Amino acid sequence: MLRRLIISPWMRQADLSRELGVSRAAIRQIWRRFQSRNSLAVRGSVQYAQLGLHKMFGWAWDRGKSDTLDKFSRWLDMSPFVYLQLRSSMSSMLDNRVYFEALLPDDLRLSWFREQLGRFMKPPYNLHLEYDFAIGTEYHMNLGAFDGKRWHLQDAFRFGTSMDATLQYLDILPVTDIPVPQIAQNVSTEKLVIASCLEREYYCSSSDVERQFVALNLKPPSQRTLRRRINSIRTELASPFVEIDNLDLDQRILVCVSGTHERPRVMKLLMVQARAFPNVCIAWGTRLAVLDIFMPSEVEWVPVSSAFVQLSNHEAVVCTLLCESKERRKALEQVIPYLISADATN
Amino acid sequence: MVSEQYPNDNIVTPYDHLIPSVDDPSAQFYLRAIRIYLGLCAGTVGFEDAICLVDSLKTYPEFTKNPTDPTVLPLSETVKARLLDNLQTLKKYNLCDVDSVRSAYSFAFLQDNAPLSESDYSVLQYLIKDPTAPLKKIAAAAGVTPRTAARSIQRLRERNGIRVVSIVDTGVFGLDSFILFFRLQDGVELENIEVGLATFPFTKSMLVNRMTRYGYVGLLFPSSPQNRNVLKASVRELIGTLFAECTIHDQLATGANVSLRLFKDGVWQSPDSLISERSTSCLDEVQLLYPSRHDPSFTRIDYAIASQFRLAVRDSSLTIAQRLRSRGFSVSPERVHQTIRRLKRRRLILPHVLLGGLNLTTNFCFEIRCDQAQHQQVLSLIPSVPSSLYYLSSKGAILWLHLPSTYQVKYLQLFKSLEQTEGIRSVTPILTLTAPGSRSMLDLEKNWKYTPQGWYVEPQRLNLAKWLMQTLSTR
Repeated sequence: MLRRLIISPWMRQADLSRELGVSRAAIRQIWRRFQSRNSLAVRGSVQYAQLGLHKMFGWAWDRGKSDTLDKFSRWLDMSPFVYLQLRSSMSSMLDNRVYFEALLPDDLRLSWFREQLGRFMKPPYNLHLEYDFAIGTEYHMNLGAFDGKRWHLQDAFRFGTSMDATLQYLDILPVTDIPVPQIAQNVSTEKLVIASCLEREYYCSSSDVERQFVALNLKPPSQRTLRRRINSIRTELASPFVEIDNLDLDQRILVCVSGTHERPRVMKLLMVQARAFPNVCIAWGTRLAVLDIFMPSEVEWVPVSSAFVQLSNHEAVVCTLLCESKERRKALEQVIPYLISADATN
Repeated sequence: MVSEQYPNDNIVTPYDHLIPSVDDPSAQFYLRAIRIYLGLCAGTVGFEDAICLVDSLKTYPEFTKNPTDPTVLPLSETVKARLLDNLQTLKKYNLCDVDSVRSAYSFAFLQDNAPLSESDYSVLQYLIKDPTAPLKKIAAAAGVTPRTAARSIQRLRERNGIRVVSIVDTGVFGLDSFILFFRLQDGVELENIEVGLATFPFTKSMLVNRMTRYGYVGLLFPSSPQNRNVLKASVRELIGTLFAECTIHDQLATGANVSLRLFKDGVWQSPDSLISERSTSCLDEVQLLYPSRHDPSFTRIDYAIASQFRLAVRDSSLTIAQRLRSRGFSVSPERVHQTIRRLKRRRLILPHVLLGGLNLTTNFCFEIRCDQAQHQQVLSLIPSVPSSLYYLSSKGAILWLHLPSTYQVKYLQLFKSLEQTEGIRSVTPILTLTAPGSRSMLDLEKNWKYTPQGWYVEPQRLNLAKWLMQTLSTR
């Protein structure tokens, strides 16, 4: 059931029951078991640009003994628009790194945030910092190497050679170039609230959304209106993906690609290779890209990291980070109170 | 025997159909090493022939970056199967660039996870304590027969990549050992520097990390004040040009340690408890070999014997004599035995166990810049590391650590925290996939002139700056 759901995350329990030839009661039972043991959820990957929001991602690092990175990390903690911050326990550069993601409205708050980032890059902080705006985000899960108990992944050598081989025919691979999205203007509060519920649960109910309105001190539309709006917004700007825990994917590796110019080939390679990983979120901008990969703990980080780092060339630099935090993304959920309150004030 | 596919060499293996044909000399180097190893496994290449073939390997600059010698590696069915598997993968993907071929070779030898039996563990424990102990003594201590002990040692070598080797005091032969730890200047082509360092006649070992651009080069050359001055002056010229920074570490002492008590029930334990117990009293476990003054009574023959002894300390004098004969030294087993006894009596060697496997898959090299007074602080951490080599200098220390990946972050943080100690100025790590090796003492000796007073080289030959600049200008 899980394999089928991962391949087709839009399938509802009734669809799965038909597809697998199993009763709906049985599917419901298995689903509940996965929910309770593995926190199974079908979430929505939202196109933030259509909500008038910029998704920013980036990383900062320092080599020395200064506490600049700690200061930057504390500043990120305090920012209401930063919804993810990951600290490296080790990096391929053997320095200290912080990775962050933020959702920013297309107004003065965006320019203020960028100014603050610029401040950290100048004296007295002199922090090394790179950031970009995400053009696209994808989530992939691949249970092909999972037998129900253990993962049987390629060893690091085969992984490296398959990447080298892919590089050779990269130009003929049908990876579609997604254009830089247009940022929508005058997005309604209602749309933001519904999108935040879809992000948490792709098939959220009108009751779920109503509760969210109330929690935000907003008057919800009628149930009928909500149902209509949810269906329309879901189709317009959300794609489903499966999120599941406790599958022994306890090791988190971030692969950060920094291009010297737009759309380096390495970025295309990693977008293609991403589907081979057990669990990955890939985000890319014009110059930077990041793969957030969850791997089994028995996979040796050093050889896998070497395989990625060897892709560095004059076009792009690849750095890998090992992160202890297993924190998941809750982008809109975290940011929306600050978007709504500002809107309410306005 | 001459191969049809490779008419210019005399290696034949049953697997030649898997070996790609390449033009890149660096890729050729690894493929040749693979063929020598497979030939030894298949019995189509004799040991003496293999030694001569390895000599031809040493003409490749890649050898200095990765000084691999298939004749000292344990012949293992597991490694052979991995090599063949990796060659098939290269063929499948039609890959023959140096990075892929190097990976095919290196990954095949990466760690062997064969479990240790109780008797193997007991034998290993005693070997670590006394690497040159006779079989009877090891057997008595481990509670097994000498035959069982011998089989254990063989198994440890073949299945777990464990070797018994030795550090040799090169000072007694009138030689100086230096390590230069550097960071490459931005904009300098790393590959060109690598080739320059690899072909420098006095380079014993080297490592340059592509990402961080930190690296080191170990040098061995005939000792004289003029030689040292020329080298140091040339390094000063390199700072600000090819190197952003460089520290010259002159050898004060070297050593090696294995802390097998961290290995329980087939798993390496967290070092936490040992770290909290850490004190200068545990320095008793940390063995050091200090370079002696030149003693001209140790001749070139003694040097040759020491060079072979250090690779396999438990080999018999007869085996060492045979290996030397293949290298053009006519030495009797009695002479070999005499020299080894002399080296032991004068404490000019430090035999130790090299743990090639046992899940120690993470390799760090640390440069620690500190005053000599802080050496004790640095060494106090050594007993909490599963396997380590260390080199002390007037500028600090260089450590090579072999760790389980489970605790790689813990150890990195532990050693980085040394920066909080007064007197320790910096701790710079380099992470490597494989443990680095070094060129053989005999290979280096070919670049020196032997006189009755000892070895000699023209001081200007130690001008590393001139050498590197010349290399860069020709590339």
